[in-house]
Amino acid sequence: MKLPRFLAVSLMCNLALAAIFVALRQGGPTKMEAPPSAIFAPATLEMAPSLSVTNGIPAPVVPWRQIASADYRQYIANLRAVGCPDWLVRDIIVADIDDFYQQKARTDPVYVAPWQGADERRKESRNRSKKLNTLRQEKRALVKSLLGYEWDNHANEVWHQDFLTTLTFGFLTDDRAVQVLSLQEQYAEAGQNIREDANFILINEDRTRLQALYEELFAETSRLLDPSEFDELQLRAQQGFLIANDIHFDGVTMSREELRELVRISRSFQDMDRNEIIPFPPTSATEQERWRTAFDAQVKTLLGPKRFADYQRAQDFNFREIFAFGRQNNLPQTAAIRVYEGRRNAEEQADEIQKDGNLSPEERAAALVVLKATTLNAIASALGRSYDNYQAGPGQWLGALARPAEPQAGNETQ
Amino acid sequence: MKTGLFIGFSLVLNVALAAAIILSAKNRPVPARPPAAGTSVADTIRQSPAPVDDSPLPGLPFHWSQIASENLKIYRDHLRAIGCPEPTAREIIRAVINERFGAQRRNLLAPLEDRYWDMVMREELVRRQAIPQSEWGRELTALAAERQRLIVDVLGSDALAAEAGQPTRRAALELRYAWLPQEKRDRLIDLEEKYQQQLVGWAANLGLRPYGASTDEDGNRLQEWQKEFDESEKQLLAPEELAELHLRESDAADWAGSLPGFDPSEDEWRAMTKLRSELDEGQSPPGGPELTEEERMARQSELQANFDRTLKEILGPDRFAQYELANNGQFQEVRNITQRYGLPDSVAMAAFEIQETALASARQVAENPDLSPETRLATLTSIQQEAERTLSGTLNAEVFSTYKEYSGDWLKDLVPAQ
Repeated sequence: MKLPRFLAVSLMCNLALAAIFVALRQGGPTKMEAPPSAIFAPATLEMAPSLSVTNGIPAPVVPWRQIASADYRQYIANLRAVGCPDWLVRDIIVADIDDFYQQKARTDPVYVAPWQGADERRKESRNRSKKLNTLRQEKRALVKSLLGYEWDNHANEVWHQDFLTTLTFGFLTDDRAVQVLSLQEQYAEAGQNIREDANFILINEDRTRLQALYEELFAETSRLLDPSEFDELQLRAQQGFLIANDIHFDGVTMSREELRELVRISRSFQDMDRNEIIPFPPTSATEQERWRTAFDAQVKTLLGPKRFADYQRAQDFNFREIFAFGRQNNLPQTAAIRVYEGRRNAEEQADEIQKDGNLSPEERAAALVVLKATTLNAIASALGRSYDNYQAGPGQWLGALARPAEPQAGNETQ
Repeated sequence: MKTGLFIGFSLVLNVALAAAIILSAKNRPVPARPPAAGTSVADTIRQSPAPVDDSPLPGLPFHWSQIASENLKIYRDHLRAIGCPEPTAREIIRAVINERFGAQRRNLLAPLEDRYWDMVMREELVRRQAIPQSEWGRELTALAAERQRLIVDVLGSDALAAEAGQPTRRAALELRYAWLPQEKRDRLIDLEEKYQQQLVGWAANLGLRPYGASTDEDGNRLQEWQKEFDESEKQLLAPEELAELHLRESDAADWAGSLPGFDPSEDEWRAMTKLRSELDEGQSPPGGPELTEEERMARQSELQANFDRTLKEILGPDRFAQYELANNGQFQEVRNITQRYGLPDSVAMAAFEIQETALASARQVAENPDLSPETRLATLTSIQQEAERTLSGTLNAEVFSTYKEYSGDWLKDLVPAQ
């Protein structure tokens, strides 16, 4: 009797061990219960067809169904539990949420008949925009509540694909950069909505709302970044001021720190970050001239008189042209400066000669020929072997130097 | 004896199973290694073998390291095998590709980070179109093309179509063809989708070439697809449906959407769209004779006069007047402002009339040769002041202030700058 009982125990052990082994190999199904504060994923997640690698017949065990959950918090917990890396958990969840909201946004579309008038179209378009905005806000809030920070897969895509964005935000870590981009996208969209609601005719109440939006963005970004990162971010956004106002630095000796300081100064004249949300009101030519003079005065204090003169020279297209030519032809900077000054002197003198009423036409022509010859010599000596290239390219003004001025209407003589 | 054999077999089996369980638990995953410097990310991803399978933790269906693989095709197949829905599997693979290429991109861009402000000073960031020609731009472009190739290789060209916003486009097409019966609509959309996929594939193929250069063969292929699409469309739709489609899709069809303040009826829209199409065709008849500039202008005036006359007959004088007003850019500017403040169109009309009257008076003064410069200036100033006063009264001070900001340039221009 003892032996059969021992056999029975051994057989039970066989069964138990076999069950454990099978469970470990396949994974035993675990029932997942939604926590009380459940955040539910779309139904599509449950309904999405599972695929088989072999012949399209679903496998009898579908492990993914044990991971995916209608409750996003549970879904995240399950993904983490199976060792899915955090960045991938985030991308999976956000993509799923994106997909869910995209489907939601596609429901209830508005059909526009071609004979529908502009007013009605605008009204419907704004109503639809409002619905979509509400959905987007809901989506962002959901993402933030799940991840603890802003995240937008579109911003992530921009960060990965757009060279300039990568370069501009490159001082931040990947995650921070995408978080800042997500915030900026969110606020830019909110600003755009206010402007569109106003049909781009901004009145005081719109500007007040936009200002509040800008301040919120400012506060949120400053909370997200440490002070030095925030400062750098603002400066990099502000460098658009240089482009917007056609400011150049060719031939100006400046340190990076000085450039950053100049950009910092410009912020009190035109805040580029703010302009993204609240467009600059139109300014008259007189106003523009006034603030430009005030800005230049501050640049002069920053650079000192000598380098400020270089800075002013850099704003002249003629200088930038010869400067670029010099660079292409590996000429020293001094050569470009000599040519530029030679040209400026020559053109000033030519103008004086043209206007000099005491000169006869013959004397004027002779004076211009002398001026041209002197200038050609000076420029040839500055440019050396590049002189021919210069004449064929940016140096075409030399040809016009000795040309007599166009006779004025009414003074024509036969 | 038999019992003894059974016991012996059972004991051996117990030992074997226990050993198998212990081995399973010990068999942990091999961590993935980053690609070696100088190795193509795509090559590494394609060539690396799948990591050694690992057992899941007790109670869990699998461990991620069992499905993750350096080889993305294996990774994709593992995801499918565990029943991961296709869209999620795509997102995972795409995210992994982004992560790996992202690291490579950052390596390329890291040296530039130190030079950021130097690049600003030298305006290298302004010349955006020159970036792809720079050394780092070329490297990034090559890397982006490699990423695209890998996506196509692992996920198929459909993945690129999804990147190009296929679902959104389909929804837009659903709306555009909502007037067609459901079955025909679906088939027409399928045709459009197929055509779009051909175009996306075509463009992606060009993108893989240096500078996206196209050949004659590429051009011919485009023409063939267009022809094929047109033929299929013709076969699918009845002649009257095709005519309706062409009317709705014609350049002239969308006029109603750009005329605030004029809501046409369906009949008015149809009549006017046909008329506008005829006007467009008349202005540039295919295979028509070469015209001089003068002849072309004369022809255009004649066609426009015919168009206006016929339109007046169709609409009647009152509706035609409304239509003309809606076409007036200056009126639309004023109306935008009054609408912003919720004022009725009659206020916009009144403000517009003040503007018309002031401009007509200013024209008369400017063209009057009998006036001295001083008298002309004084009269124009007085017209300007009067216009400002009446506009301010008609619109009220707040609306007038907005009016001046958005639509008041003409007031300044009444008096020439000294």
